[in-house]
Amino acid sequence: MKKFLASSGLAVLLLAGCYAIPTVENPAPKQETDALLAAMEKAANPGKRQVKTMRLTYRGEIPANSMTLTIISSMKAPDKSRTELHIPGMPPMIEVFDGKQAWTLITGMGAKPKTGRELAFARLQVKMSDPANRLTDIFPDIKLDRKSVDVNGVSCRRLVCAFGPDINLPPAELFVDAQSHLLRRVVLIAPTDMGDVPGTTDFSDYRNHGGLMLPEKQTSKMLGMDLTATLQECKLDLPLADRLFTPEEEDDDDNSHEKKQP
Amino acid sequence: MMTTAMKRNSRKIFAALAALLMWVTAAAENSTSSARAQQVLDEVWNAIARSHYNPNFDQEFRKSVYDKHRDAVLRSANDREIAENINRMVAEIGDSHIQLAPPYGEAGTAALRAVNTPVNGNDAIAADPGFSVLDVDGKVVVHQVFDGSAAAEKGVRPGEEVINIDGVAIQPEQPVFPGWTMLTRSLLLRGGAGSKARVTLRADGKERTLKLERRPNNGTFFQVGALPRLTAVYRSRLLPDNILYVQFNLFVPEMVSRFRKDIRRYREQMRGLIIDLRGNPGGILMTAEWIAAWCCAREVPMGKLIIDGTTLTPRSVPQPRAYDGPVAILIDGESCSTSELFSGAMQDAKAAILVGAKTPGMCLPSEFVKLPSGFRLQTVFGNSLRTDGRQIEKIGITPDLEVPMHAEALLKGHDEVLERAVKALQR
Repeated sequence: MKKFLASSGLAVLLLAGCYAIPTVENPAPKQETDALLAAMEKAANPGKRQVKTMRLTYRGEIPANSMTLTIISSMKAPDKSRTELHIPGMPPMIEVFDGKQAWTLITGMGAKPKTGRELAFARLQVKMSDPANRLTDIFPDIKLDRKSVDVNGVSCRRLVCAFGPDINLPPAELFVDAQSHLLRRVVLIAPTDMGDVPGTTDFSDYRNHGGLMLPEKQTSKMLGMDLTATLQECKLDLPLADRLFTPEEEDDDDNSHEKKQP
Repeated sequence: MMTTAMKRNSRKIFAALAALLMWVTAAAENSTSSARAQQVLDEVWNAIARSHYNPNFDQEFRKSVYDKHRDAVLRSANDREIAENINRMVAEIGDSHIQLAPPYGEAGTAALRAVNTPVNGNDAIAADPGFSVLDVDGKVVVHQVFDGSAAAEKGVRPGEEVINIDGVAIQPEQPVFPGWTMLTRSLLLRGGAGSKARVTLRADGKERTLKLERRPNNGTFFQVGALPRLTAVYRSRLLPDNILYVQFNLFVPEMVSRFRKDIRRYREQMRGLIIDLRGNPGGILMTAEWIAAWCCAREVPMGKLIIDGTTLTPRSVPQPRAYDGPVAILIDGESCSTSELFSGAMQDAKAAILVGAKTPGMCLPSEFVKLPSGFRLQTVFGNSLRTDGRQIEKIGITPDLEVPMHAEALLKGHDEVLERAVKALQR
């Protein structure tokens, strides 16, 4: 539980990492890398759908703590995001990014603005969640390993993706199914308000949702804890007001976070 | 008097979620075989090794601890003995917050059963007879009596020893997890608004039994994960000289919410703030950050948390309209875990003066895992340090002003620790 609450970065689900700096000893030629990136785009968004807004609802489980939770992740293109973490018995934990600034909000407690690398990472996460973005829009440098790697029994190609100087962290590793070209694993270090948190997220059970291929299941490992998230609902191009992506002033008389839970 | 070992046992209260671990291990008297004992032993050992902050745990302790105790564990006649022998083993590791099902005496088992047994009636609203308790000299004694409560009407006095609640004997001489003061609080709360608690008190060698109506206490229930329902109670009042006195029994989110409201309400008139963490066994670290964020207008580093090889450095982010005046924090031998982290961090940041008694140094973050054998293990998954790297575990937090508590003084209406804190803030 403490581990879970320790990092608000977990709310984003794309966590990961190992402290050994990932490198590619034997990189594939640029042509091969470009071909793989193009194949990934096609696999993830075969109809090249432009999504204005998206809301994904997950059911999370932390088996070791017998805990279930709900995660609602909303995106409004091109640069707004909101992730809500609902744990029964706890006030909602919300991360919002309005395109310029980001905050961690906990109902009844207050707001923590994100700064520095945390803010830069929030910006990157929004880009990652928008299917219109290419990997090259997100990472300034991408190298493909010539060798294939086994991820949960699936042969994968390994991409080492460098962050920009504003994030200044070791590169992320992306493992891509060599057959389907869908993402199978992300390993990265997430900057959080408590420090840099390494983690790994595996993706599986891809299904088509309105033209987008989305993983039904994500399993994250961080700080020795496992979290499994199963996609419950995917809504595309739904109306999402801009105010959802900014902190709202709380009424001091309203102390019932229970009412606000989904 | 409780022995040190007993006290230590009774205070093994977890760090991540300070709370009741009320697994009344289903009698645990079934006979067993050495194969089962071996299974439980290995489950426990592997679980500890997997999550322990020392990556060389197995290598370091296998011979000196596991091998040393293995034969004794395998000779256990039943599950209870397995737990006893394994707890003896893990005690040699030297960390708090590691234990299997602890051995309960009859009184402890009865108290845990009672706390775990639902009561008919309206228990959706947290309600109690109107007094708080503390461990003083190894006894559970009345600490404060609240205005407008049944306890106040019936003349309950601070300093009286609590010896029975609703037929459940309070016997601090018997070790029990999570400690008798915590259990007593739960027993007082059991029943809901309108129900009557039959409470036996003792003072000056005389006993008396009172029927005290439970009235809503402004508390809130808290339940998360596999843990049982807890009741978090927040109380505050403005003392003379506009010193805000705040007391809460757990570090859980609702306490921050109420604290924030108090700060916003009294901020302009407050000349001092007292946060009473005596008897507070801890809770969620995140809530400590937020308490600091509302009572100190500058960033307070909350020490270091080392988990799975990663060092986390939680810190408060001061909130707009946070209080920015003198703060005193009251601590005692039952201020554990997050209470220790919080008070240590505030002391290190020179953001508060600590008054009372040294804390026990039981501060390792821990979690509960259900083992395949059905045993439940509380095991550490990290280490907590002060901001400068000093250990809290086994060392505790030393107050700036050491002031002992005495039941006699409470009986005479004096809370010496609180009075000293008020004086310190008035300077």
